Parts: sequence; structure tokens; C-alpha cells
Amino acid sequence: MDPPRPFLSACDPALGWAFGCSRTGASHIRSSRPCEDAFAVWSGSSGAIPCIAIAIADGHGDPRHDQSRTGSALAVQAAVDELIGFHRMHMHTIPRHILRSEFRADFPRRVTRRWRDYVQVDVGQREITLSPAGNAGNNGYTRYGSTLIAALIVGDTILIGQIGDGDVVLVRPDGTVECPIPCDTQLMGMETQSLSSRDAHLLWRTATLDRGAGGFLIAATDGVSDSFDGSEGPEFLKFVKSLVDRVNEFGIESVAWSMKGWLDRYSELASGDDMTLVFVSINPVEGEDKPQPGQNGTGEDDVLSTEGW
Amino acid sequence: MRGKKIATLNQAIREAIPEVQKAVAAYPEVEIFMRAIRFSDDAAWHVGPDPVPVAEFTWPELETSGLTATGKALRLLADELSIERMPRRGLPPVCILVSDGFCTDPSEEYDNAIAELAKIPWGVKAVRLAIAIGDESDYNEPELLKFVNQDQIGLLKAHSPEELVSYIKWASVSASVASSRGRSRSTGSIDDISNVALESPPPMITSNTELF
Repeated sequence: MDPPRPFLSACDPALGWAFGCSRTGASHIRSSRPCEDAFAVWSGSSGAIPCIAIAIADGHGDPRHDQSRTGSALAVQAAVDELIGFHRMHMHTIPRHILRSEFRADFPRRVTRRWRDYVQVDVGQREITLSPAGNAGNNGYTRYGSTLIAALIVGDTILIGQIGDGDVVLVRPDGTVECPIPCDTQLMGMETQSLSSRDAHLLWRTATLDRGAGGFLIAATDGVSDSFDGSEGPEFLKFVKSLVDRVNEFGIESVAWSMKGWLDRYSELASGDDMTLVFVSINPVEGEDKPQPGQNGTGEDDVLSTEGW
Repeated sequence: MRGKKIATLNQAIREAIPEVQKAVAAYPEVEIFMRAIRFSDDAAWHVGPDPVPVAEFTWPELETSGLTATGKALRLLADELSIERMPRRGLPPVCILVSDGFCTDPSEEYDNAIAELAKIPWGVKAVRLAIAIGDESDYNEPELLKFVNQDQIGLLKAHSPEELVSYIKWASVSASVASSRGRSRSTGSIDDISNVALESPPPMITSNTELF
């Protein structure tokens, strides 16, 4: 049996390079609980237009969400499947500016529905119940509750969607730091919005950005920012910028290899939570999108990496 | 509160602190900070308002006399639990009210403070327990129960020094550990009172000769 891989990656020569790393939290290890985070990175193309899709999910740890480990794995799968479908459906048929509004309008509803479909299949396959007896507050998906962050880099656009906690940060080449989806100031204590929430499709927050000069997109579950000073905290953003500095100095693959140890250390010393981080190095736009070398007009060439199954 | 009651309370809290430290050592990712409000004719910070890490916490001898300004104390607590003064993210606070008498503030003041706690997010999410000291005719049980938000626990009645020590230790240790176990959950559940499941308090067997 192969040893566990320290990271998973996906690459597109035109768009950039993505890797992800997920680690079981120190407090989970102490209490013999599994990692409830999941992530997926995917690169491929459709009709000669390449894209990179990423997703991270954090299953809720509370006992009422006892299938959240599966819930988070299904969430990243649903996100990547939906992003790929969105890409294939819209890239050739609608103008770019409509693409962004379509994403904001459709993606939350579609990915939530797809996740729920996947949960239903899992329930059927494993012969478990969605609503445990005596849990009156359960809306049917509570046991699988999970957050989800998904992003698609395609053409001159970066599309991002988020439900629940976690962080997305974009560092531009000039060092400018953007938090395209501000943290949800309504959340209190250990609560988070969830795919399992009754009106989950209304709880999504989305952002559409110009790819422009490119940069580095970092998505992380809340265990990472909680190891510093929380979402959008100066110490957390300093950590994010230090990652970018290290990538610039030592290369992205070197950072990817080191990530496992860093996340383990932060979890041990600080939050204790599961830690998942996806890092995307996004190339700058060079003129208009053109078919890339080695890609024909009809072929589809995919690489999907997922962790959390 | 005076005499044996206050002496026992001082001793019980001093004995409880190392037990809290020991119990939450299993959760190194959790930082516990302590504060205390004293109340008699008025209410004031006994420790605080700046929170003190539990590892550095020492209990200053508490001496009280006069009235029982529970309403003012709860108002002070509610002000400190406001969202402006507490971090938005984190584990729920644990609040333990200890009293041996009827609230001498106007009932409206007491009820307004309780209503404020029921309105502010951290007031709702806090683990709120109450320990009543002495004979049941000495304090107002329904009044103290308004503070408690753990229905399965109810009011903890310490009839003797032994029971007071036991309840102080149980409440501080059990609630701190239960709070430290808090894990993420979705919003909007109808049973969404607290993120904390407390174990039952210890059974009490008290000899009649040791009553307050």
C-alpha cells in the first residue's frame, strides 16, 4: 500500500498550478476522531478552453452532524462536478459578463441540489437514515452538514462561492491582498452556515473577479485562520503572504511538500482543528483566451485529485 | 453572605481552580480566562473586567456584607457579554451565579437584566448555572432559576459547606470541560440554545449536623 501523499495537485499550463493539503487536527487525533475536512483540485478543458476548479469543505464536528465526514467529501465532489458542468455548459454559449451573473444566480442553487442528490445516493447505498429518531430539528441533511468553498479559474475570470466559515484570500503579484468574500459577521460562537441548512441556497456568498495579472488564491478551512487571529485577522493574512513569499523564493512544489508539516504544527500549537488549505498559483491573462498548445477544439483532458473520501 | 458561607465559598473556589486547570489540560487548543463579579449593596468586579488566564488566576479573599444586588450584578455581566466586548468566534462562556439571599434590587431591574442576557448572543449561548446557599427559605428559587439556562440541571442547592464545595467544583469543572468540547455546527436548529451538553451534577448526601 502506498504511503499517504503529502499533497494533491492539478496544473494547466495556461492558467496555473494548484495543490491542496488536508491534515487531521490535533484535537481530533487525541479524541480518535477522523478528519472531517475534504478538498478537491481539478484541471482540464472543454472545447479548448481550460479551467482549474478547486473546492474545500469542513464537516461540522457536532454530534448531530455524525455523517459530516462523508458530507464534506460529497460537497467537494459536488462542487467540482458542478463547476465542470457550468464551464462546459456556459463557456461557449454566453458572453463573459453574463457568465459571471449566471454563476452568482445559478451556482448556489445547483451545487446545493447536487450535494443533496449525492447525499440521497449515499443514504441509499449505506442504508442509513437521514433523520435520526428524536431529532425534531433535523431537516433531513443535518447528519451530513458541511461548509463548502468552491472556485473556478477560467478565461479572464475567477469565480468563487462560499457557504459557511473558512477563508478565501487572493494575493496579487504586487502584494495586494484581497478577501473577495468578507467573513460572515452574523456567525457566533462555533456556529456556521451549512449545506444542510434549510435554505442553504440562499446562504451562499459569491464573488467574481478579474484574473488580470493573476496572483495566488488561497482557500482554507477555519482551522487554519483560527490558529492565528481568525478570518481576515492581520496575523492570518501575514501567514498567507508568507506562503506567497515562500512560493516566490522556493517554488510552489517545495511549499506543497512542506505544507503537511506546517499544518500539523499549527493544529498542534493552536486551533487543534482539522486543517485544509488549497493554494492556486494563477497565471496572468495574456491577451484574449486562445486555444492552448496541445489542446484541440473538441477534446477533454482532465485531472481530478480529491482527498477526504 | 458572611461567616461560614463566605469562608466556604472562598475555599471552594480556590480548590476548584486547580481542578479546572487539570480538567481542561486535555484541550490544549482551548484558552480559559476568568472574571468574577461581587455584589452586596452594589455590584463590582472582584476579578476583572480584564480577563485573567486560568493559569494565572488567583482568588482574592471575598468579603461581603449588606444587601444582595443580584440585578446590578447581572447587568454588569450582560454588559460584559455584549458583542462589542467579546470575540465573535469562540467557545461559549460559563457563568455561575452564587447567592444566599433574595435579590434586593427592584424586581424590574433583575428581570431587565435577565431579559438582556436572553437577548444578547453570548448571553444565550453561555452556560448559565446558579448555586443557592443555605435553607430554601433564605433565597428565591424562581428568581435564581430565571438565570439558569440548563433546564436539565436546574438550581443547585447547597445546604452545607460540603455541598457548596462539591457544587462549585462540579459547576466550574464540568461546564468548562463541556464548553471546551464545543464543535462546529450549523445555524438555525430549533433546539439551538447552547453548544454544550452538561453531565448531571454529583448526588449529595449531607449529614444534618453540617448545615449552614
